[in-house]
Amino acid sequence: MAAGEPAQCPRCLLGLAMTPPPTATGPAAPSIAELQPLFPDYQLESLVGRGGMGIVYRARHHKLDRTVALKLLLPDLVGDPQFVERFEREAKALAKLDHPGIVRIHDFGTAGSFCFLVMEFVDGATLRDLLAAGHLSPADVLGMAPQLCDALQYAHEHRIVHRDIKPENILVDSEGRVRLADFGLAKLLGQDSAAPGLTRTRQGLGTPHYMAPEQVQSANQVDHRADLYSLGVVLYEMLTGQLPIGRFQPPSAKAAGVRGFDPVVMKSLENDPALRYQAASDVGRDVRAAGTAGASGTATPPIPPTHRAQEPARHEAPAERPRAMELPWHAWLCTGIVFLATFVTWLRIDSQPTLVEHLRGIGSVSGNAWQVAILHVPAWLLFFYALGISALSTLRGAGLQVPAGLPLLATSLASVFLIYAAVAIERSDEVTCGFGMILTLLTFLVWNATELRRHGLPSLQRHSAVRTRRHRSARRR
Amino acid sequence: MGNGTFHTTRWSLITRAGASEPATAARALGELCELYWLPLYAFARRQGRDDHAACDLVQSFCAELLEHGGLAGANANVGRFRNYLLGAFRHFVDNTQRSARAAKRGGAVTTWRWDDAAERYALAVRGEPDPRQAFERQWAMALLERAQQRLREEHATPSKQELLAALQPHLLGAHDRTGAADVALHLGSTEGAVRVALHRLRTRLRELIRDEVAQTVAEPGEIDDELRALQAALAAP
Repeated sequence: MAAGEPAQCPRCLLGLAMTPPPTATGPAAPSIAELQPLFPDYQLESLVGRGGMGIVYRARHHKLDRTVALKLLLPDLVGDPQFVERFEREAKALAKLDHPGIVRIHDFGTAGSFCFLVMEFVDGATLRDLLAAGHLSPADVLGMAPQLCDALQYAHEHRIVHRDIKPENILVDSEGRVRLADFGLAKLLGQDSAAPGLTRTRQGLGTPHYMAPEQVQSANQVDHRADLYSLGVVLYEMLTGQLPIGRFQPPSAKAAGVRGFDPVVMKSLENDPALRYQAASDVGRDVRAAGTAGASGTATPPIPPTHRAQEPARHEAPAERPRAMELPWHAWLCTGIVFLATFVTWLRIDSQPTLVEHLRGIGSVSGNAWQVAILHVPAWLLFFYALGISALSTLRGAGLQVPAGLPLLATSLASVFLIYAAVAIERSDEVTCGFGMILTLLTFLVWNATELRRHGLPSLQRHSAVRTRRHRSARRR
Repeated sequence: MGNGTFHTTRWSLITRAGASEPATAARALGELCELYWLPLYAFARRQGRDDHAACDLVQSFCAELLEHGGLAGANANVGRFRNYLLGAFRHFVDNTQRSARAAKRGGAVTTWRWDDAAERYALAVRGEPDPRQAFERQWAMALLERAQQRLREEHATPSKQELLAALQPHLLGAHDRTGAADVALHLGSTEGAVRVALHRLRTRLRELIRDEVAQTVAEPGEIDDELRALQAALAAP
C-alpha cells in the first residue's frame, strides 16, 4: 500500500473498526492495577481474553524474564474449600501434560479471591479469530487437524479428557502451530453442582453446539470420545464455516474440494459414541489419508443428496460401510459354531407331530430331521449373524450400519431362546436339542464377555442409554 | 489500544485543558488541522470556490486556529472535533465573506501538502451533492488514511513491509481461502501462519482506526457513534 494509492473500501474499514474485539465478552475483568499487588512475581501487562473459564492476562515473570498467560478463575469459588482442593489436584495433573500441542501450565495457586493458572503464552490467534474471516482451506485443515489429534491422543493416553474443545480453546501461534488450551477446566468448573457460581460457569460455557450428545445429556458420564465428537464439530466448522446443527449435510455439500474429509467428519459426529472414532490418533490418521487422497485426486464417491437430507445422523459415505468379508475372524468362527450346534441339535428331532407344536414345546414333529434342520438353520444363522454384527459394531465402533437398539433386541431374543431351551430339556427326551442351544448361547456370551472385558464398556446399559439419547436427539430435531 | 490512554487524546485535551494550557491545546489543534485539512478543502470546493480560493480559505482558517488556539464564536463543547471544525470553518467563512477581507496567508502552515489537493479532491469527491457531505466523506477518508499510514509506519522493516504488502489485499477479505495459500507460497510460510498474521494485522488496524477516532471525540463511549456516523456519511447517495 503506497501512499496515495486509493484506500480500501472505506466503509469496510469502518466496519472492521466497529466489530467487537475478542475481549469484549465475558465476565467483567478486574483492572491490572487492582490485580498487580496479588502477583508480585509477575508484571501484568494487558488483558488478552475473557471467557466462561476465566479472564486471561498477559504477564511477565520478573526473574525468568518470560512472558506468560495468567488465567484467573471465577473468584466466587475460592470460598469453597472443596473447590480449591479439587482445583489444586486437577491443576497438578494438568501441569504434568507435556506436549508441543498442549498449552503448558507453569504454575497455579490462589491469590486473594482468585484461583489462578500460569500458562505458556501463545503469541498468535485463536481458531475462533481465524474462523471469523471465513472457513479455512483444506490445506489449512490438513495442517492443523493432525496436530490437534496428536495433542488429544497424548492427553487421552494420560486419562485426561478436555470436555470443552471449541475454536476459542484452540490457539494458533505465529508459525501456524496449533495448541490446545484449557484442558480439563470444564470438568473442574462444572463438576460440583452445589458450587456457587456454577450457573454462571455454565452460561459462560456458552454454546452447547460443540458438546457430544451424551455430554449434553449427562456431563458426568463422558469419556474421551466426547472430545472426538467436539473435534468433529470443529473440523466441520473449519471446513465449512458453519456448525453441524440439526439435519446437517456433509462438509462437501457446503464447501468445495473437501469431499475427502466427509467420512472422517461424519464418523466423528456420530451420535452414538460406539460408532464414532475410538481414538484421536485414528482421526488424525484418516485426516492425513483424506489429504493424501485429495492430493492424488482420488476422492471418495459423492453421497446422494437425498440420503444427506433424510439421514442426517447416519450419513457415512458408502465407502465407509464394510462388506461382510471384512468382519473379523471370530465373527465367522461364532457363526460356524452356531451352524454346527444347530445342525447337531435338530438332527435328533424326528418324532414330533408338527413344526408349530414343536416350536411351542408341545407334542412332537412329524417331519424328518432334515426338513426341520433346513427350516431352522438359516433362521439361527441369521439371528446370530445379526447378533454378531451388532455386538461387533457396538463394541468396536466399526462404523457398521446397525441400529443402536438391535443388540438389546437380539440379546432379549437370545434370552427367550434360552428359556425355551431350558423348557425343552425339562419337557422332552430331546436332551441333545436343549444342550445344543445352551452351548451355542454360552459360547456367544463368553465371547461377548471377553470383548467386554477387553473394551471395558457396560454393554447393555450403554446400548439402551444410547438408544434413549438417540430418540431424544431425534425428537429435538 | 487503551481506553486507559484516552485522556491524552487531542480533542479531549483541547476541550478540557484548552483554557489552562493554551499552547498545548493549540499544538493539538494544529495537529488535528493538519490531518483534516482536506475535508475542509472539499467543503470549500463544493461551495463553489475554485482550487486557488479554496486553498487560500483553508490555509487562512488553519492559521487563525493555530494563532488563537481556537476560534472566537465557535463552541468547543459541541461534542466531536468533526462538528467543531466544520462549525468553526463555516463561522470563519461567514466572517471572511462579511468583512470581504483578503485571506491572509499564514507562515505556520507551509509544511502542508497543498500541491496535490486539487488532484486528490477530483479523485475522491465525485458526485457529492452538498458541501457538508463532501466534508464528512473526506473526513472519513482522511481518518482511515491516517490509520493506514500508522500501520505502514509500524511495519517499516523490510520483512514486515513485505508481509504487509502481501497481506494488504486480503485485509478485508472474508472467505478468502485461496488468498492465504498464495501468500503463504509467496512468503515461504505456512497457511496457518499467514492467517494468524492476517488476523493480527486486522486487529492492529482496527485498534489504530479506533484510536484515530478517539482523538476526535470527547469520551470513549462516543467512538462507536462516531464510526456509525462516518459510515452513514459514506453510505449516503
